[in-house]
Amino acid sequence: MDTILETKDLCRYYGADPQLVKAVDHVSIRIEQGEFVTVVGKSGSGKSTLLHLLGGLDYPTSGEILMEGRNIAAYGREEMAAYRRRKIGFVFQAYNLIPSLNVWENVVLPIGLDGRKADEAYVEEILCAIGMEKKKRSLPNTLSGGQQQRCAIARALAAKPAIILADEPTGNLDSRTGDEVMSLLKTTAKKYGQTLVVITHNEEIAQTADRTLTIEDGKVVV
Amino acid sequence: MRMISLLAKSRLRHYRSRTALTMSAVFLASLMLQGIFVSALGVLDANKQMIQEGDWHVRLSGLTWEQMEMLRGHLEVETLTFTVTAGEVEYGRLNGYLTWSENVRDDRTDSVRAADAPDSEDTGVSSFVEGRLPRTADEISGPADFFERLGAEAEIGAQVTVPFRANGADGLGRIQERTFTICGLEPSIDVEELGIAETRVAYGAEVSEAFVREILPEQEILYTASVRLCGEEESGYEEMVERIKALAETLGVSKDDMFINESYLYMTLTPPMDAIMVVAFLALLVVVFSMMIIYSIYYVNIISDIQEIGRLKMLGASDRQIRVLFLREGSFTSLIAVPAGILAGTLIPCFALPSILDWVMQYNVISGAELDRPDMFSAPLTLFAAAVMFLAVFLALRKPVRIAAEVSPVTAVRFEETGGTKKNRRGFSQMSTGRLCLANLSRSRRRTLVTLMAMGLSFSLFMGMAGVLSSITPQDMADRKLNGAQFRIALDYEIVDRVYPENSLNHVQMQRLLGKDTVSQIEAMDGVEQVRKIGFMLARVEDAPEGNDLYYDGDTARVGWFRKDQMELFGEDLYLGDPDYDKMAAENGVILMGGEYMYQRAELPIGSTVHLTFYDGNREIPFTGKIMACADYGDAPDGQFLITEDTFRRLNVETDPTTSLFVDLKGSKLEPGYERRYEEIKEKLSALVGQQERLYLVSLDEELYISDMSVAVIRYPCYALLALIVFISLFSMINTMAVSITARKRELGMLQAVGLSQRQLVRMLSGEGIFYAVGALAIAFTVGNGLGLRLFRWAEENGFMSVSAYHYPFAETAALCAVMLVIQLVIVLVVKKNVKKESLTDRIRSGE
Ligand SMILES: Nc1ncnc2c1ncn2[C@@H]1O[C@H](COP(=O)(O)OP(=O)(O)O)[C@@H](O)[C@H]1O
Ligand SMILES: [Mg+2]
Repeated sequence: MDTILETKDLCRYYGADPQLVKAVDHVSIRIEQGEFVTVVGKSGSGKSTLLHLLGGLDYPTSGEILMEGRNIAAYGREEMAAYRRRKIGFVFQAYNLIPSLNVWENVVLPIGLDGRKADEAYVEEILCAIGMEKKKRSLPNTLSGGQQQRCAIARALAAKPAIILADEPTGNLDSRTGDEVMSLLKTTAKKYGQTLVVITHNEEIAQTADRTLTIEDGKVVV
Repeated sequence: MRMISLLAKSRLRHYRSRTALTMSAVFLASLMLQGIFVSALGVLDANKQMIQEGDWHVRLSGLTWEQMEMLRGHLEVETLTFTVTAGEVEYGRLNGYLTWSENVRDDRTDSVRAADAPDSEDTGVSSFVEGRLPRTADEISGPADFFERLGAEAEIGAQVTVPFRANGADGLGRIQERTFTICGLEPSIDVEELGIAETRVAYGAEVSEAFVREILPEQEILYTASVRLCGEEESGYEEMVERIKALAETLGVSKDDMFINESYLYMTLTPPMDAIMVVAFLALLVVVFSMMIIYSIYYVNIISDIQEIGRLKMLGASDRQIRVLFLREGSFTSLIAVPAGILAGTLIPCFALPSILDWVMQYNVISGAELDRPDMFSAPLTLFAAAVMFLAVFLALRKPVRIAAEVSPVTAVRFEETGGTKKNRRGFSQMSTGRLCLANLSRSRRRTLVTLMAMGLSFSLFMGMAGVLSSITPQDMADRKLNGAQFRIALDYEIVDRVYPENSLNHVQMQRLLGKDTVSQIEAMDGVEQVRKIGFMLARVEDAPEGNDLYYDGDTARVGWFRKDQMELFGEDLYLGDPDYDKMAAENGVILMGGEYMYQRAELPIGSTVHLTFYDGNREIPFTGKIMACADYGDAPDGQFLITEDTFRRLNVETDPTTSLFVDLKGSKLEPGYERRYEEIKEKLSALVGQQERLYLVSLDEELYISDMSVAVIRYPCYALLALIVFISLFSMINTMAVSITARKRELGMLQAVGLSQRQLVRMLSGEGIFYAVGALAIAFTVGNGLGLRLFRWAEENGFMSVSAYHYPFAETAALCAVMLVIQLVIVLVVKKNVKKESLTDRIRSGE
């Protein structure tokens, strides 16, 4: 299998000496194309920080992040924005939909921002896959939590990103809805051949993964 | 409730920039309101000072010594000053008088006197730079430049020879000369600075009683007394006028010799309704617009606070507590901003107005009078302004506060600004930054609308007023005086001069000074396009009503004539009758001018016969005409009676009736070399006029200069006010945009997470600014310009500042666009800084 994403001695420190926080500390990992990886660890161990770095939301203090062999840590801000909208799909704990846009618009937003035209048939297909085809015109505040999160997943999928990064996607949902959302995420990722990285506290979810990374105090433990 | 106050204060502190914005808006609004009141009081007071020429109630002229004595002892008299105009200076074109004045009596208490005239520690008759009033027959005092123009040195002790005509009982006497010693100097009148011809300045020089008694026999000394009656404060206008008339009667002074200082009495004893209306209108404008803007700011703020309000309610806050919270925030804001604004609104005009008035006065007052510092502060009015502003803030807050009180606690958990009832959105099938921006604007349509309307309406007000203000142009005013020409050469004459008949118009006209020779001489000048004439004849009106004040000396009238093609000039000015040129020409038709006023007094109904005797130099030409119409003065040729040109020709007048020549130059102002040509011609015309004592020149540049002043006085204060209103309305937009950035912090982070680049983010946010700017400008240029045209029509009909042609306010349009452009740039910069300040991960985490 090809390595799609790789980090080398990745560090992200906050603050200065006396209160220096090593949120991510010399992390070197590899993620293969099409793999489903879960990241587990205590609260405050640095999972979110790592995910933000992988997704190009933040810059590392030192180290490299290689996406298909290119170091994105060296990208400028504009390049980074383009990287996010082309290569990455995010799903967060809070659903993070844009309240002024309806479901459809939320889904096609990243594509539009990239100056591309959305493949409407493909978007329809995704919406069918997540069971939201009837709610295209709805505004986010009229949806339930599970529906909103499904919508966020559809958005992450719409731009056909190489990797989907999810930060506790089921954290706000009851366990049944959480399971539904999670399996949806897995099946769609598989279907469209996408790599999936999920942060979770949920043991069950972690067990269904191809591989699990455990993080403690910013370090990956094996 | 203590908790609520605490919360209100901490919220004000937390949302610092928002608080600052609201406070500034309230501050500026209070400043404007108080500024209007204070300036209005100042201007009114200055006007009073200017018009009153003293606070006397009546001026009685032609008084004998006996009558003066009666006044001196009269119980009703409070102050008494007299002037004897002993002679008129006869020196080239110098306009001057020799007067003897004295303060006879002043019964007012010192404090009143001091309050009325704080600076006049001297006689109150003249204000001296140096020296004193004359005491002996060969002393004189007056303005320095008066002496200089007489060829003397303006120094105390210097000698000056004054040629003059004594002012006896039968009018002016023969010219005589007298040499005086200068004993007092008054401030000069700077003709250069005034930019007007010297001939327009009238000087007054003081001489002594001894001198007057020398040149005039006792019985010919006629006193003009300025009298103030006691008890002004307790009397109304009507009552004062009655008392004055009664006084004149007991003295045996005829009506003609009594001049009631009506403007002063009117000013002091009746409330100045016109001024009050204008001030009330401006104040209302300011209050309404600031209320609208303050409303929009609060509305937008409260809407963006809905989630927080929801949270408070979830914690158990009642509707009433929420209402109290926001009202308290509003009152804390106004408790600081209103007094500060009132203070600034008092201080700024207090310091600025006197110098502005001084600057204006230079050009308006020929006599060189100086204004005392105008009285401009009024405690009740200040309290009123403060009360109005508090009320305005309260009213502006009412609706937003109600919205806040009605917020449901559910919004704390599931929040969608307004439009909570909306479930769906049609939306776009493809997205772009522009559409994102539109989606955001439409999300809170009411917020967008409120902001847009606040801006659009203030801009419209600006453009509307600009429509009128830009139509008041010095060029139009000067054109009216000069009939659109560049120069006017006019005859210098008296209508009737009994002692020197050669000054009378009919004699001056005999000299044919503006006849063919002069005209062809001017027409021959290089660059002159054409010379136009206007003129009129004098005629005695036979059988004029006894004791009328319609004609000069009771019977001499101006008679003009018009061509057939000038018929339409009467237009709407026709008051009665429907004159036909040919019929008029055939039947010696006469149009009576002066409208209703004249018609009711002249005893010349339509169809009646009028007998006029034209003065043609030394000849007299009898004429019998028929009154065929009556019209108001307007664009028609000058004259109290108008006849047709054909009728005038038949009179076979020998003199030249022209009173003014208008000289038009070739080419347009924009052509290169025009200015040089203008100057050359002006020089030649000045030379031409200089040869003739009876001619004077009025030139466009001088007229423009004078008109400039009167226009500036109206225009700049208005623009200052409008600019402030526009400025405050910008606060509304800035607030809305600031709110839309801070309230959507996480949302913006999310947008960036899905790939919105920083440039796109800035573009999206400034897109909102551009939307407001373009929207407001669109409203301004449609509604505002429509309003402008309306206001112009109204101004034209009511003769406001003699506007006559609509000038589109190009400069104002450009200024408004430029301001908006600059604001946009500033917004982009601020947004950029704001976007960069916070990292993306912070924005995303802020939601967790
Ligand atoms: N902006 C920041 N400034 C300072 N410290 C931060 C910041 N963001 C995260 N941290 C710290 O970094 C560590 C890792 O945080 P995070 O990645 O959110 O952990 P997790 O997602 O595993 O709970 C924590 O100790 C947190 O306090
Ligand atoms: Mg986390």
